[in-house]
Amino acid sequence: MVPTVTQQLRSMRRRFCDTILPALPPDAEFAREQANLMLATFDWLLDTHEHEYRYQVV
Amino acid sequence: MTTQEKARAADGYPVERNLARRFDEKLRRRSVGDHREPQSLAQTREKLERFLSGRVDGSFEVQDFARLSGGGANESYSFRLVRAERSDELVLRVKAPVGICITEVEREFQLLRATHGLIPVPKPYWVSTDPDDFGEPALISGKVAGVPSPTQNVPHATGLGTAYGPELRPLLAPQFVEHLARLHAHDWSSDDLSGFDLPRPNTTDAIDWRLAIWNRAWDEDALGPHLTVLLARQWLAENRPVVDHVSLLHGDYRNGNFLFDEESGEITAILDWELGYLGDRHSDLAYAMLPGWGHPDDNGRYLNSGLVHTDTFIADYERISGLSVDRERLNYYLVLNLYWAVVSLIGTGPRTADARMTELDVMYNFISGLGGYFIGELNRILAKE
Repeated sequence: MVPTVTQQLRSMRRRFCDTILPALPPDAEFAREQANLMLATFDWLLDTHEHEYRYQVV
Repeated sequence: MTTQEKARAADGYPVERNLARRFDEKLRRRSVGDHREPQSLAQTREKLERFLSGRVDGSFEVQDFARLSGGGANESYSFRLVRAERSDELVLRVKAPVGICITEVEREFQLLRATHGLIPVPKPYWVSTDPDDFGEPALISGKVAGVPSPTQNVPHATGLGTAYGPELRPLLAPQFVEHLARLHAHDWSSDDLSGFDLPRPNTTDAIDWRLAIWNRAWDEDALGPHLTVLLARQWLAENRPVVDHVSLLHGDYRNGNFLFDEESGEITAILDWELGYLGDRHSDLAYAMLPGWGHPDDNGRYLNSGLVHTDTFIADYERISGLSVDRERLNYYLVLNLYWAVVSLIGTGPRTADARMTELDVMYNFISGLGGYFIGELNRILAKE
């Protein structure tokens, strides 16, 4: 049994939030902005991807 | 129709000359997989110093060179240019090969020159269209103090756009309306606008050329067809109003696209001029009134761009500019603005990200969700029509 896409996204999001974001230099303004957009994208994927197949076919 | 107009119309898209060149360049680069590789801070700084050495008399030093966040189509950097007896805070903006829509730096520079002193805008210093300078077209302007959104007493946002709160709103709203009115009433006939094609008043030139941009963008960029886009395009073509008075337009005039001083509530700079063009004032007005930018006040009345009620907006605008506002034309330009927003957000943005022609790929994919919202608004309006 492999982890589901949702489980993998959740763990990626956690590591991104708890490990990678805090390690960015405070003055790396552009990098921080992009990282926060990635975080928002993780949330969007988590909210939608389980419904995507049904939305496409129904 | 002039020979030039015939030539442009012949390819099906009567796009203005400068912008047509950018469209062609986009296709060329996309076809050969010519991506924009990330530039290191040191590389860009070196290019900047070389560029300035050909334009600044005497010795100079670039200090505090730093990458800025924000901006949908540029890599932006701030720096201090120190010369013998002066020091200037400046901003370098290097264009992405393709942003979320096609823009042209020379036009933006000319708009800044035309409006500097008329309304608050960053002072334009230099423009480069030579790729040897920065790799892409670039513009250097003054850096203006101010914030794009409140940092103190931040109001709870109930819409998609920036909210200002009850203290700042009455200070900012009259300026927001006045600057737009002054821009549209400005006589641009003696300004250098060589980067623009000049539409004839009392014709549909301006709207024809504008529709051509978004139609071409959709046809070249969309990853798939969309019925709403097709319907909107047809409706816009069939209902084109004549442009009675040709104004300088900002093209992206809304909350979030100006800086202000938080203490005094003074607007210090209107930003983001890359979508500016010559056309119908109703285009800017309808854009500032787009659903989504604003939110209701405490009594449930809608505040356009989070600042001003519709009746006050129109009355003050007409009084200051001396130009009338036609509600029917406002409705046409509401549809046009929703249309181009959809073309950019769900057509060009995701395609540009997919083609690896921007460092803002994550953002372009993310904000396509806003395109879905605008599709809903278009459906609502077109269903009534």
